[in-house]
Formats: sequence, structure tokens, C-alpha cells
Amino acid sequence: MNEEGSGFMEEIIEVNVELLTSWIKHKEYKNIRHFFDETNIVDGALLVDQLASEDLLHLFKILRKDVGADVLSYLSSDTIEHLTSNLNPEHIQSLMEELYSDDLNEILSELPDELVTKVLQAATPELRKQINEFLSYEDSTCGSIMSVDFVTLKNSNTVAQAMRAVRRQGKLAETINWCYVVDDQKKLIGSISLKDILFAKDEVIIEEIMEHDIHFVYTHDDQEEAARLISKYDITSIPVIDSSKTVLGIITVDDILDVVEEEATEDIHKMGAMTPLVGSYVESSTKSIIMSRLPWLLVLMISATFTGSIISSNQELLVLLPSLAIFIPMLMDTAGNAGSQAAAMVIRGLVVDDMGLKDFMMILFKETQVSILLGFVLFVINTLRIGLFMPQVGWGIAIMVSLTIFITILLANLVGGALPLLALVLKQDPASMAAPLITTLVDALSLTTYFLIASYFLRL
Amino acid sequence: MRKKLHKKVFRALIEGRKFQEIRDTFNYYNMVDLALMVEDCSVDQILMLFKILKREISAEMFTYLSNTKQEELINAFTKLEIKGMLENLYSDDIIDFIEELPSNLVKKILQSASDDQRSEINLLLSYPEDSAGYMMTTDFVELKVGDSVKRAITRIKTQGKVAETISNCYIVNENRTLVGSIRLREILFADEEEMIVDIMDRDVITVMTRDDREVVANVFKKYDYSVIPVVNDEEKLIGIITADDIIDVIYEETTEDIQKIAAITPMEGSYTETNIIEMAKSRVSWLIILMVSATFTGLIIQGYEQTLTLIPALAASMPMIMSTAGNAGSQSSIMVIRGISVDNMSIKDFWLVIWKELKIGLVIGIILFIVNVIRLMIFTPDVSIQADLVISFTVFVTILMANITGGLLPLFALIFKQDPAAMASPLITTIVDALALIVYFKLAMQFLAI
Repeated sequence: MNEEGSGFMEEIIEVNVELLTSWIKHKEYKNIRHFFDETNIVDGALLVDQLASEDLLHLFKILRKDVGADVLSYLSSDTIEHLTSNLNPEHIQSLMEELYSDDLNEILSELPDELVTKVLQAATPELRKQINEFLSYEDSTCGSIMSVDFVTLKNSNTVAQAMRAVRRQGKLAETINWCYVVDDQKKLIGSISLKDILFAKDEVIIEEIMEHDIHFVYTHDDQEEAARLISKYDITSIPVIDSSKTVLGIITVDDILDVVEEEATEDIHKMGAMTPLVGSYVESSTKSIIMSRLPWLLVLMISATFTGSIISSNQELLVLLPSLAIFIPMLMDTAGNAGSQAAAMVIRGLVVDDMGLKDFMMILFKETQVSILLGFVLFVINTLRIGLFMPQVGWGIAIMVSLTIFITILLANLVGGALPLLALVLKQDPASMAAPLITTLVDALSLTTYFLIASYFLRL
Repeated sequence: MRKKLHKKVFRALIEGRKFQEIRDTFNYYNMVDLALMVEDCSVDQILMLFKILKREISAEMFTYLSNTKQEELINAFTKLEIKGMLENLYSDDIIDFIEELPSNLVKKILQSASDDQRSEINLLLSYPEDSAGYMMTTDFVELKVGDSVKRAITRIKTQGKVAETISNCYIVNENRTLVGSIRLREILFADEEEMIVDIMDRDVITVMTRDDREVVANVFKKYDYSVIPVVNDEEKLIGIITADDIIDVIYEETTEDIQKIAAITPMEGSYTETNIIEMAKSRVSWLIILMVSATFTGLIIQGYEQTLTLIPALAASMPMIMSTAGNAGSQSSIMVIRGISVDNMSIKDFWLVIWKELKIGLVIGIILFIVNVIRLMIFTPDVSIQADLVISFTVFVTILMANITGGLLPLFALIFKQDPAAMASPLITTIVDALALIVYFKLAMQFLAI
């Protein structure tokens, strides 16, 4: 026993694709089975992804069904597509039965329609019903990512009965660490951790030791809501219910990690004036990348007509004082940067820290204070920079430009801080509404300020 | 389910010193929500709560209070009260609030702790911040290599009371080297006489105490685990990390990335809590750098002052060209930055990025060229068609340059061991602006016959 224990890490020989391929070719089934029993399934799946197509099909005929299903849930979508189109219906059916419902659902959501139909035809009636239900939930709702394999207990159960129920239902359940307690009408009324069941006396009634104040999501809720609750309340799973409070599924914390990451990418893309792109940069087609970038580029280019017309209508000023043009890029950049700084902070606050419309006055007040500080620093530095290093421009214009910066920063910060909230009022996503628009809006504001101040100074 | 707890009701309970009802309330409602209400109570009232509530409940409440409240409370606590509370906390929660405390209060805590706990806290504090060792908890269930299932269940029952999770248990040999892991359900479903070594999982995925928390987060995401054990250099089991702690890590890292992309020096703490000095500090440095570097663009314009005076219409399109360049550049840089942090992109993808951005730039450039010619003809009919074409062609060239610069800059940042998000995004606008203006004026001088 000791030698088994101490050497457990070394026991696994380095298996690469070549070795695995040769095992498959030479029908060394024992080695293959042993490898998939011992290795981590994620690492195993990474190898399987690299197999040639006939070896891949061959491998799935060899593997035990539960191992095959496990591997399947970690394969790339291309490999899965290849498998489903080439395996026979009976084989597909047996693999499906071994999968957890949320894994199965994830696989189906990435398959092309004709293969989904093939899978549906292969499924048992019961499974088909379950799959159809899943397919009816909209993308990125809680219903679409939940697992239906979980343990429910009755409120009137004793601890001993509950323990038996856990043993019975638990074989299939994705997690048994939290069980959900329902009443006679199957309505969700509480939750209990396996730990509490284990530590309680056999004859205690579950209702007495369960937690009453529990959190849940509805099937149609956005998956972000589940992420927010799980993170806020530090729980490891959350039940998904329908309008009659019947528990339909659960979402576990490991699924939420992916959600959090996806939503983060989505937000970052939106803030960079892009329609969120599903899938990685490397894998996405040129066409889908273009589709995600083009719309905002067009909108923002056309809306720059506005800034252009501000300059056109002040043409005489520019002719009168040609050095004014030199500072236009700097003013626009600074305005845009300040605005997006404020917007980024507020957008993140809305997502992570529960900020909302109620914070409107707080944001305006804070941004005003911050702007005065920032504006002052930039005013001093800019005046010195122009005055000392661009003597041909002169101190007068230096002060005028710096004054514009001061006002611009104030305006940009207020707009950047307020626009995400406005998006909330209009029921739009703050990240996609606010960030791309800010530069254009703030550019226009800063140019208007610039020319107003300039014409005032020139009249003096 | 009982109805929602109202703030006023809670206040009335506290002010009326209704001890029994307060206890009931704390037994019933969720602690996160309760802690938000306790937050508004005075220190004296909270001290009263600590006296009447069960220790494990008040300890849990403490972990959800704000840093300022925690500081006030530690100040007000007696050493005995601190000791009592520490004994009811998981070690990672202790570290969480200790790291925010001023050093005199950390000292007070260490003095109040039992010897065992003191060495445990000191151990955790000795790991670098942001490392696996720092964020792990040392409260987990440890089984021995010679245990039967029956013995294991007894161990779980004794150790489990203080463990943060019992869903995964870890098996060590005599040297405390980690040899396997097993899920509680597997123990429950097994026969009592079976040996743990026969049913345990031998291929355990672990992280090292000094691994960065981003590494830990990536392991969690890759393997879909809810618990991962932490080992030291000798493969001895030291602690565990649970997935719920990782969510916070992902949130924080994302916020950091977003801040860097928006030219903000990353700051901790929420918008609401951060004071204006901190906030101004995190924003001012990039604003100054970018403002001063915009001198370049200014100089370029200055160099072509005559061109501008000769064809005043050129000035009107400057903002459009600059913002289109900036937008295109930041689009491609953001995609690559995200690819680096999420999908393991690196310098090996150099040619892929160039090739892809080239194709994208061509298509987008052509579309924007056409739309822009039409836009100019509609909105500024007084400008000559030659000028329209020059301006639109500039947009085309600019997009190509901006896409490639934006795509490559994050990769270059990697070569120079800089953070791609911090280096790339704020700089791109300035670089791309300058490039765009040079192209603009060169083309204008060439084709508009000056």
C-alpha cells in the first residue's frame, strides 16, 4: 500500500498522441482503458482532440460508455461534430445517457441543426423530452445552463430517510453537497447541506434543520443573475425554479466560473465598441470578427460628421489663428480618455458592486470633485508644457488651451459617469450603450468649448 | 418562506434589545443580507449582538462586515472575545480581514490567538499576496492512506465540523504527502469495509503554494473543479482552495483589465468606497502621459499648417479620421488582449494576428471607404470629389494600420514583459492618431495639387 501511495504521480507514463494512436492501431485495449481510468479526463480529452478521424471513431468503440461520455464533454466542438455525424444512433444514445444534463445541453447548443436532429432521433423518449425542454430556453438564461441532476428532499423526511434519499438519487446527481427541500406541492421551501444531514441525529426532521432563507433564480433569468447571487452569498450551487416555485434544476459554482469569464469578455468587447464575439480570436472566422467590429465603426464614423461640422463652422477662427488646430488632437484625446476612465469605473461598479440609479447624485458629486483635482493638475502641466516648449504659441494661448482642458475634463467625467446610468434607464446594457458613444459626445463637447473660449479670448 | 426582512423591523429589534427575537432572526435569514443591516448599527449595538448570538454565528457575521466596521470592532473587543471569534472562523476568512487591518490591530489579533492558530495565521501571512498559499484555507478533511471507509466517515465527522468543505477529502501518507482525493459521495456509496486507497482518485490536480492566483483560476476553469488542494514543494498537502473564492479572483482580474484598457492605474476597492484622492491618483498619470504625447500629433499638424490654410476643408475631417483610427485600433487590441488573458495567445501567434488583421482591415476599410464617400457627398456638397476621395482613402489606409498596430502592440508588450492590457490600449490612440494624420496630409499634398 505504501509503495502504491508514494508513487502515485510517477505511475502515469507520459502518453502522447503518437502513443495513443499506436495503441489504437495495435488494439492494445488494456493500455487504453488503463490510461483513461488513471489520467485526468480534461488532459485525456486534449489528446483525443488531436487524433485522426478513423482512430477517433475506433477509440469510442473501445471506451467504456461512462468514460466515453466523460471524454466527450471535454472535446472541442469540431471533434464532437465529427463524432456525432459518424457514430451510429445506438452508440450516440448510450453516450447521451451517461452525460450530465448540462454537459449534454452544452454539446447540443454547439452542434449544427441537422446533427441535433440526429441526436434527438437517437434519444429515448424521456431524454428527448428533456432535451426539447432545454432547447426551448433562450441562450444565456439560467434554464439553458442548469443541470437537472440534483437531489430533492421532502420537508417531512427524517435525517435517516433523507440519507437514504441522498444515496438513491445521488448516484446520478451532479452535486450532493446541497440538497433542496420541497413541500407536498413540490414547492421549494429550503435547502440543506449534506454536512448538516451527516452531523444531525437520525430522527430529526429535515424541516427543523434546513435553511429557510434561500436564494434561487428563475429559468428565464439571465445567467449573470445566477453568477451575481452565487458570488454575493458565497454559495456553491443555486436552485433554478419556475413560476410555481417547482425546482427544475441547479447551477453549480464551477459552471459559474465560465459564465463570469464569458460575461467579462462580453463587457470588455462592448466597451471597445464591438458587438460581443463568441469564441476566441484564433478560432473565430474573419467574417464573424468583421461583423462584430463593423457596426460601431460605421456609426461612430458617421456621427463624427457632427464634430466635423463644429470645426467647419469655426473655420474663420482657424484661419485667424492657425495654431488653434495644433491642439485639437490633444484636446480630443484627453477628453476621450477622461470620459472613458469615468465610464469604465461606473460600468464596472454597476456590474460588480450593485451600483444603480440611486447612486446618480453620488456619481455626479464624486466626478465633479475628481475632475477639479485632475483638471487642476493637467492645467498646470499643460500651461508649462506649451509656454516653455512652444514659445511661438505664447502664454496667452497656453492658458486658453489649458482652461479648455480643465472644463473638458469636467464635462467628460460627468458625461462618462452619467451615460451608463442613462443606459440603465433606457433598459440598455450600460457597457454597450455608454462606452462607444462617449468619445463622440465628449469630442463634440470639447471642441465646442474650445472654440467658444477661443472666440471669447480673441475678442478681448 | 417568511417575508423579507425589513430594515426598520431589524432596527426596532436591536434598539428594543429583543434578544430572543434577534436570535431567531439570525437563525432564519441569510447572513450576507443581515450583515448589510448590521453595518448601519453602532459599535455598541454590534458588541451587544456578539454577546447574545452564538459564537459561530457572530463570527460569520463579522466576515461580511466592511473593513472599517471590522477595524472598529477589533479595537473594541477584549482579547478573549477575539480568541473566541477566531476559533469559529475559517483560516482564509481570518486572512481576508487581517490583510486590511493596520499593524497594531494585527498584533492584537496575533496576541489573542491560541498558539496553534497563531502559527497558522503566521504561515498564511508569510505567503506572497495573490499566491495560492495566501488565499487557501487550512481547514479541510484529511484521510490516511490506511483508512477503511468506516474509519474515513468517523474522521469526516470529527474534522468536518471545522472544515470549510467536506465534499472533497484528501488522502495523505505517513509523510503527509498527498496521494489521492475522494469525493464524499463516493465514500457514502461505498461499503464500510472497503479501503479508501482502493476507491480514491490517484491523479489529483494540485496547485503549489507559491502559484499566482491567476494560475489557480485557470486550473479551476480548465478542470471544472469545485475544490483544488494546495501542496508545497515537497508535495505535502497544506491547504485547499474552493471555487467560490475563485469567482472573486476572476471579478477582480477582469476589473483590473478593464481599468488598464481604459487607461486607469488599477485600484482596489469599489467606486462607492474609494475616496476622491485615490481615484484621481489612479487616473491622472495616464491622462498626463497621453496629453503630453499628443504633442506629437500637434507637431504633425503644425508641420502642415500651410496645407490646412490652403484647403480649410481638411481640418473638418481631422476628428473623424482620428476617432476612426482610434476606434479600429482599440478594437483589434482589445480582442488580442482578451485572447492573451483568456485563450493563451502569445507571440507565436504573431503571423496569425498580422494575417487576420490584414484581411479584416481590407474588408472593413473598403466598406468604410464607400460609406464615407457617400457621407461626404451628402453632408458637405461644397467639398470637391477629389477631396472626398482623399479623405476616404485615408480612412482605408488608417484602418489597415490601426488594426495591425492594435493587434501587434499587446504581443510586443509580452516580449518586453509588460502587461499587454496596460501597455497596449492607452498607447494605441496616440500612435494611431499620429500615423493617421501623417497619411492624411501626405495624401492631401499629393493629390489635391498644392
